[in-house]
Amino acid sequence: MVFLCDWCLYSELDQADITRVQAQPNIGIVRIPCLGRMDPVHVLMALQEGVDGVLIAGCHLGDCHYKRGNYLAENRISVLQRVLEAAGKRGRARLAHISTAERGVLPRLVEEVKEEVRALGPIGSFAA
Amino acid sequence: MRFTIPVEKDTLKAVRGFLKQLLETKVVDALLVPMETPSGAITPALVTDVDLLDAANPLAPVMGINTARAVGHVTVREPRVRIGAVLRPCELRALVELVKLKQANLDNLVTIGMDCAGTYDVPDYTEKALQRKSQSATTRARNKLWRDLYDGLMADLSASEGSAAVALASARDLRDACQMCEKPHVEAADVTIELFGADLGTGIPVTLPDEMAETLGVSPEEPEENDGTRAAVIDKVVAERTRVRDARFGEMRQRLEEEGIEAVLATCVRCHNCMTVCPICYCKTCLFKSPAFDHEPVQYVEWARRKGAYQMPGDTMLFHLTRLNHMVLSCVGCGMCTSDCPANLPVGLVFRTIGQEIQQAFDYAPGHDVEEPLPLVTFREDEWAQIGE
Repeated sequence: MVFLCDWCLYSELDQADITRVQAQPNIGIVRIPCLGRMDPVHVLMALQEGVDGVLIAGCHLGDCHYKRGNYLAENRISVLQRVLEAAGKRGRARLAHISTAERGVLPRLVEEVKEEVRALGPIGSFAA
Repeated sequence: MRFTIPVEKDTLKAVRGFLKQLLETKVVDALLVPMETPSGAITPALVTDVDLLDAANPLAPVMGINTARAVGHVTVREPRVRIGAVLRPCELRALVELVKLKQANLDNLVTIGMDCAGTYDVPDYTEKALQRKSQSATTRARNKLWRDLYDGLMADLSASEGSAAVALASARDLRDACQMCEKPHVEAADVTIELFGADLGTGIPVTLPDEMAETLGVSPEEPEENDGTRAAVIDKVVAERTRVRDARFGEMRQRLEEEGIEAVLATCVRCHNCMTVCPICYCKTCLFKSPAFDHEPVQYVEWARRKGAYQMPGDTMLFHLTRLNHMVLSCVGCGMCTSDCPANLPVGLVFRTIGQEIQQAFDYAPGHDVEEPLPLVTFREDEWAQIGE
């Protein structure tokens, strides 16, 4: 499951569309207005649904359209990762900062996360 | 300034006398203080009638709710009168967090902190203090309970060599959180009633602002300098309780690693008491009490098909993990969640064990200082520097 900030990364999807990149069946994309909108509960609900890994991507620090949305996310996701670790689910959520100009970084990152999550295996009956 | 409330045999009477003085001299217009109801229960009340303070009992070793939330209710908006609040150390810490979360206000508030020897759960307190044959016997038992607890703690401290990682003898029946409370002393309050280390048979030392002392017409004790008795007692209590705490944290950490958090909280009945009594969980409507998790019937069937079996209602871990995310940095360890859990789950211990690591990672001590910003809503200047702004 990939959460994408509307401001920097949705254009990446447009680009993918134009260049007719094949959609992958095992990736779901959720568009969010800003990283600041991310509440840990969104990630937890995705994991509960059986999603094996979550990537949250948005603007670089300092580039946020709303000034501090990505800083808020930084702190929240950092707490989330520690909570997940305590719940025995290390490495299931990752936060990344990418700018509109960085073509190709997002697909590369998605592949990276897929590899990591594949190594971890299915999430099992998490938070059922 | 530091002065001593003289005690003639009855410590509680002396404390009540001091509280009455605060109200009489208009240092405060109203006082939020634990009161004895006619039936013997202890509950905080906002008092304006001086005579009613004869029923005040801030010493009663029982904690049914964390009063910090009540302080929030009476201070969060205008019109404000000058309000005094008699609080335990964990309530003071929760109040600091609520101020940062903009759910309470320190303007026109006089915090009156008291060192705390520990508290019992309400049923334990009721059994110990109330189930006596006559009214006078009940009153005696109730007043003796705190004194026994306090004296027991002091005796334990002078006797203990600090070897065993078990709770002190006097702390055996206390609330789980109190047994491992490493901050039972008042760190910062406008008025500090210094019970630790005091000779309660003769007097109770109080530290308060100079202008307040002037209004009250009290003079400083001689010598005014603190002789360090209280500090020494605090050091000992903190060392003992920290030992107990670390042992419990260790056990819980091991359980979390071996069994997992799902197993530890498996018998949760989803009553949401832990959220209701948590002083930090202030949301008017919690996400988990909203219709967000009322799914269409077909959805449940779909889940059951996909997973083979679907636990109903299915949001137990989601609830606990979300609550962890939302409040763990501000958890002050008052342990109301554990006290009010009908399934007797160690909720507070789980949260504090996980919370300790997260609080350390953010270098944050909840409840310590109102000026210390909340980590979740702030970022440091040097983070900007890293990206060249």
